[in-house]
Amino acid sequence: MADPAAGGSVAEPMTAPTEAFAWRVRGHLYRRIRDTGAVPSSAELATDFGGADTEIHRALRFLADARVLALDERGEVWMAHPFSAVPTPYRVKTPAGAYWANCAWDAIAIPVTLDTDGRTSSRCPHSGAVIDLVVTGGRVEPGGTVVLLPVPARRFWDDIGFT
Amino acid sequence: MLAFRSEGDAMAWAAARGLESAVAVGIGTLGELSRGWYGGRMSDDWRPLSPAAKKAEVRSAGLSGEFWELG
Repeated sequence: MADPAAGGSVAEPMTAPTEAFAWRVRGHLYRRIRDTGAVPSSAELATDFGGADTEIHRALRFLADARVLALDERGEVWMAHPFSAVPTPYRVKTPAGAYWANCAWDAIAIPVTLDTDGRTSSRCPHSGAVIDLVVTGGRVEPGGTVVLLPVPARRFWDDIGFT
Repeated sequence: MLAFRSEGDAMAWAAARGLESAVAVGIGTLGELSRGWYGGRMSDDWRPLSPAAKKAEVRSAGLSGEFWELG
């Protein structure tokens, strides 16, 4: 699903320096994704921050509680909206690189996030027709295409994988 | 969230799966909403939008109704 952190933050309290570190990790994480096309592991992030493994996991947990990221069962980054750490039906190609999107909405959001153009090709789950979505200068085509949002916005995070 | 060729295709697919609360949103509208929700995310200074800011972005994209109530 798209980030759409529908509700407010539910993050656990952190000390100011620790919270500041979490936001630094977030910025670094997104730049790594932009530059490499891949979501880094917690170990890679720890290396980037001088081996601070415990602090990295704490930072990722904070960001997940704040609904900035979704973690998998191992505590690794699964979704850094709009990017996905794992392959999905939506592979987005941009001048900056190619990326996995979590869903169709995120496939549109990746070019927006990177402030660039992009395209993704998928199949309509109902008709089987090929859908080539193109984002150019923020405009999305073909215009008749729709995205199905399965649950209301306030329930987006109830089961983020399903959404 | 999956992309469909048309609203008819999307709603038929949803009905077959009992997704009674599902809605189909035009790709252009989602593009517009994405600018508000995703713009600036590469900046170190980015922080999640407040609930009020999210509601404003939803309204700005022309979306309304119970489906879009953010709790």
